[in-house]
Formats: sequence, structure tokens, C-alpha cells
Amino acid sequence: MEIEITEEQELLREMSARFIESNCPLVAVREFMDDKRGITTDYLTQTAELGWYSLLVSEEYGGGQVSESGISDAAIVAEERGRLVQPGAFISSNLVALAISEFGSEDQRSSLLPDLMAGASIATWATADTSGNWDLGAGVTATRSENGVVLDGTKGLVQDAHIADSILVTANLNGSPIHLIVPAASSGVTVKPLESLDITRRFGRITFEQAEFPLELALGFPDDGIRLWERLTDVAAVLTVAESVGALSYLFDMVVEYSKDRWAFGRPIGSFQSIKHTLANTGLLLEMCRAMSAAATRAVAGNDDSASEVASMAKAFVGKNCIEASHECFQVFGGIGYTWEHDQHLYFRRLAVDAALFGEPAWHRERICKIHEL
Amino acid sequence: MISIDDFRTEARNWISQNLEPLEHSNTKILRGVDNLSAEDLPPERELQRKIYQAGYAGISWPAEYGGQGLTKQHEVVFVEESANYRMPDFGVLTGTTFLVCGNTMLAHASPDFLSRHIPRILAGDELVVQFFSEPSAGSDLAGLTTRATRDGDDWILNGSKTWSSGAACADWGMCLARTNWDVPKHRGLTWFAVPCNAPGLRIDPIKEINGDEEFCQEFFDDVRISDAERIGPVDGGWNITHSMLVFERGAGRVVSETAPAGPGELAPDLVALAQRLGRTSAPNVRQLIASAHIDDYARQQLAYRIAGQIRKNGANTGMAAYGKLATGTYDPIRAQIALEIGGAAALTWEKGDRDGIEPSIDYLNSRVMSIAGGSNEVQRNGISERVLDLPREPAFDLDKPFREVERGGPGTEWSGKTSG
Repeated sequence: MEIEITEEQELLREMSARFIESNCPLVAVREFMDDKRGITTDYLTQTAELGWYSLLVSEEYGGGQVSESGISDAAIVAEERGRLVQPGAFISSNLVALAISEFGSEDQRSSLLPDLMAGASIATWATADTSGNWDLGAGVTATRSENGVVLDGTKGLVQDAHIADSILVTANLNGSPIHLIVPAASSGVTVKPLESLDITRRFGRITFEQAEFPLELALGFPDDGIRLWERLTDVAAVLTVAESVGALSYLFDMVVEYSKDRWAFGRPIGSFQSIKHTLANTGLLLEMCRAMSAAATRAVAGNDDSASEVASMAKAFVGKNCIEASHECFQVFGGIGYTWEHDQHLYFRRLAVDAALFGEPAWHRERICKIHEL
Repeated sequence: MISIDDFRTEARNWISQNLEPLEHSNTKILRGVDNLSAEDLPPERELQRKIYQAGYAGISWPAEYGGQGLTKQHEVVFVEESANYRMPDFGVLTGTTFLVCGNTMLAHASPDFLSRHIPRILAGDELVVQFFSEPSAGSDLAGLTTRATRDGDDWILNGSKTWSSGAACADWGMCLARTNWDVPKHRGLTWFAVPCNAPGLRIDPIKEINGDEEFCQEFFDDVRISDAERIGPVDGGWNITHSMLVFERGAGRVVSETAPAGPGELAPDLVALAQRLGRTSAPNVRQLIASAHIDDYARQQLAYRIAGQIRKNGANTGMAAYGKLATGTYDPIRAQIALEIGGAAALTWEKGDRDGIEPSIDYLNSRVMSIAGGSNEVQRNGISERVLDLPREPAFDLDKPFREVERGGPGTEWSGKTSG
């Protein structure tokens, strides 16, 4: 099969799905839209009990997987979250947990991981600049100082920046990367919440002005900066793709049902070839996105030689085609889809933002060319 | 039954001692359409016979008809082990003979028929072509008008078939004909096997836009065949057509169950083209190359996913149609990418320059799979009705005897009314 789902993984899926359906269905997602924080402490601690934030942390440091690969476990959760466009920075905070587990110091592991895994603190990754450039260290420069490094510049598209306790910031130190985990409440760090196309999640901008940090806050420094960045980019791609596939699956089911229920000219609109063919094309895109999501999960979870390439292929393919598919769904819904009360726009928004997060399709295509040394 | 592991060891030994390793120079590149000529066949038949005699043909087909009576898994093993060796190449007839017609016959023909034909098929003595579409019946295949009329123990065939790939080189054709005009269209069709050298049967090649002559049109003029060559019940041909389409869309294909390897080289043909033209650093060219590479891989992953779904849930024409639609959708996109990268340089070439002609040939062939073997539209109908469970479009011909169905022609006007 494309991905072998173990019994334990199936259980994780079921429990996650059940939690989401009963605690955070689309009505609740809409309530979160008006909430100042965009998410509640209850949501975080309850999902932490399901293990959502421990999956990418090694057991040695208190993490827990349900299969041989925490990445494929996390992809399962991401897909379920996507189905009902869940709030919160699940992907971003898991990436930070992964970075600490694989590249952090003993001190970082013991001081940060327990609260992160318990949902008691929120971490996020600040990587792109304000224009949405995902290149390594974009937007923020680091300079060595007597006591450590000084950061200057601004990061954009940082999820849950407004409520994050810690920020993993990837900066450019004389052409080399440096990653630091810094407390959000540090001197010289300003967080600016932003409004977003995706109203189910929150994004912000983080400005560093002469913000000085000791080198102890760095991870994988000085040798593993690139490796850490590649790793985070790959895992971010896998999880974002899984989330998009979940979202598109749900949207597609919704639109297929609608085409059977809605009648015009004396028959269900789903009996018109124009609608049937549109939906068949959309179904093809969804099936291909599912296949690519499975391929990327396999490759990255299995640490394949081609892991980065397959992750980027999936991110580029799914990003582009989920947007296209969501437009086809919109068209079949017709005017009702343009109303605030109909849920389709939550997906229309989510899929467009997912396509850009952690690298838009063009960025990943260029990454593939570079991997092949073209 | 021999264990999978023992079978693998035996097959590996036999293959390494008897087959020729595949090298680039002896790989025929089958790009949707290829031009097979009768002179190419004798060595291929000889190779097929060798494999048959060694007991490696029809591995999962029944032993009583010359197969080996083993499992699909054994067959997968042989496909895996022989992947880097030269196997018989009958061009398009490989698929029609072994994948489509052979499997369909096994599912529906009489034991007598099978014992006459299947061993010869496996030995490479009978290559089988499909006599399927007609000049006036393609997507609406059940509206075909080639007729078979009963005459004692024989049937007399009259009419015309077309788009029969490889018919000029085939030995037998599997032919669908109308045997009853007084019932609705799907209920009056019957399958027959017809020898390609039957008196009264004329096979004319059709020249295609790429200059090849792979397809043929056949003219049946009182072609007489024995009732023993009938496949399945009289007037019961449509069900058989369904299972044939499932095989045609890949259900009988033996696919390795291991996940496809990594993505491999970056679209080698496109990179070579860009390199020849010094365009590898142009951002739009890089984007196009990566897009094609990604789409290629996505198609491969889709095929793997479909094979898995079919293994798990059984054959489903709708699911298989996704694979066909992907080919019909992405072949043209890929061919356009090559032309776009090549620009003017892809449009002209010096005589004999194989690299130069390639983008143009690919472009000309790029819509083959959007039309042949069921157009994209037919696949979309299949997907929407069999996977998404959407209703059929109303039809005007389903409930009346076929002889009363309006079939167009000069002076015909259509009211567009669904009743009255």
C-alpha cells in the first residue's frame, strides 16, 4: 500500500478525529475566529494529552511515537487537522520540538521540551522574511557580539507569533545560517499580529532590533545550521502537504454531496456532464495529491536519499493543485459558496495559505533544480 | 506449488543464462505510438517461444491452457527479475494480446476455445488485436453497427472496424459485432475471434499525423467464422466489454508491489534540450523542467496508489480511469513544456537529427492518450459515476430497440426533446 498504517496509528487517527469532531467542529473553528488568542488553553492541553506535540521528540527526551516514525504519525494528525481546518500552530510548534530534540542542547531539551509537549507553552518558527522569501536566513541578519549574537531585521508569516512563548529564529550570519530559540518576551523583539487570508489561523510579523542573545540559545551551531534547516524544511513540507490533503478531501466530499442534493432543470446538478467532468478532474487532482503526500511521508520518514527532493516535489505539486482544485469546488457550489455562512471559504482560504507556507510551489521547484545541480 | 523464494531463485538463474541484458541500444522506446512492421516480429516470436518453453509465459494463467497455474505474486517476481533483460516486444500488440484479449478470453471463452487459442498465444504464435471502435462508434461503442448474422454453425460478418492498433501484424482479432437489432443497444452485442487472414476481411493501414501507420481500418465483406470462435454468450457481449475495459485500463497488469524508486534524474530529455540551447539558467526554463519532473513523479505515484487500491478493494473501472485520465491530461502538458523550452529551436531540425525531431514528434503524439482507448471525457464519466456515485446523464437510446435509435446522417434533424 502507499502507506502502511499501523493499528496504533489508526488509533491515533481515530482519537484525533474524534477529539476534533466533538471539541472543535467547524462551528467552534468559527468561534475561534473571533477569539483574541485564536485558540484556548484547553484545546492545547487536551490535544497535548493526545500526544500531538510529542510525536517529533525522541523518547529519550520524553517524546512519544505510535509507530517507528514520528513523522508519519504527525502527518496523520496533520491530515485530520486539515479536514476540519483546525486552529493553532501544530506544524510550527512540532518543528521547533523536532529542532530541539535533534539539534538542541541538554539545557534546551530540559528547559523547553516538557512544557511544549504538555501544550503549556507555544513555540513557533520564524523563517521567511516579510515578503515571503523562504531562503535560508531571509530577513534577519545576525552579527557576533562580545556576549553572543545580535539580531536585526523582520520575519513574516510567523504562525501564532502573538501568543508564542518561544521563537525559533533562523538568521543569516555572514552568509551562514544560525538558528536560535529565544523567548518572545526578549528585549529588542517586537511582535506585530497581522490579519490574514486564512481566518482560521493567526500570523504575525516579528521584528528584531539590536536584539542580543547568548550563543547558548543557538541550535546546531556552527556546523549543523544547513542540515537543521533542510530537515525542518522537509518535515514542514510533509506536514503542510498532509494538512492540505485533509482539507481538500473534506471539501471535495462536501462538494460531491452538494452536487447530488442541488437540483436544477429537473435533475441533480451532479448529473450534468459539465459538473461531473469538473468533479472528475478535481478528484484526479485529489488522488494525485494523496499519492504525493504518501510519497513525501515515506521518503522523509524513511530518511531516503531523495527525502528533500520528494518533500519539495510534493509541496510544489500539492500547493499548486490544491488551489486549482479548491477553485473547481467553488465553481460547483456557485453563489452559495460566496457567502460567509457557507464553510467552503474556510477551505478556499486555508489551501491558498498552505500553498505558500514553508515555500510556495515556485520556490520548491527551484530547490529541486538546485538539488540536481542544474 | 513452488514457493515464491524458490521461484525467484530459479527464475533469476534461468533469466541470467538465457536472456540478453537490456542495454540502452536494444531498448525500443515506446512512446505511446510506435511503428511496428511485420519484419520486426519473427525474432520477437522466437524469444516468446523460448520463454514459453522454459515455463515462464502465462505464469498466473491456468495450467490446462499452457499457463503455469501459479499466483500473481509469482508473476510479479518474474517481472521484477526480468526488468533489466530484453523481453519480447510486439509493440502495441504486447498489451492487446497478453493484457487485454488474453485475460478477457480466459474470463469468458469456452474451454474448447481456450485450449485452441491460449497455448498458441503464450507461445507467440497468435498475436491478437482488438476489433473494437468503428468509423461511426467510438465513445458510444455500444452504438456499433458491424453485424454478425447467424448462418447454421457459422456467423457472417459485415461492416467496418477502425483504430485497430497493430492489426496489420496481428494473427487474430477480437471483434465485437451486433447480433440482435430488436433489443436495446447494450443487449444485442456478441464477441468473436476472427483470423486476420479470413477471406473477405481487408485490413488497410491508416496514416497518422506523425507519418506512422500503426492503426488500421478493417472492412468485413461476408466474412464467415465458425460459432466455435464465439467468446461468451450470444447477445451477452457488453459485460465482456466491461471486463475487457478493466484489463485495458491496467487491471491485469502485473505491477511490482514495492514502492517506486526515488524520483531519478531530473527530466533528462528536457534538461538535455535546455542544455543544447544554453537555457538552463533561465528561471522560466528551470520552473518548467521542475514542473515536468514533478508531474512525471506524481503520475508514477498515482499509478502506485491505484494499484494498491485495486489490490485492496478489487478491480474498479472508475479507479483505473483516474490513471488513464492522468495520462490523457499530463501527456499534452509535458509535450507543450518541451516546445516551450525549445522555442524556435524545437520547431525545425536538420534531416536525420533524432534529438531535433523529438519535441515535435512528442507534441504530435501528445493527445493520443487523451483520445485512444477511451477519451478523457469517457474516463471522466467513468470516474464520476463509479467512484463519485454521480447520476448518469439522461440518454435517448437506452430503452428502445437499436434499429429504432436515431443515428444521424444527412437531413436528420434533432428536436432535443427528451420525450414525446
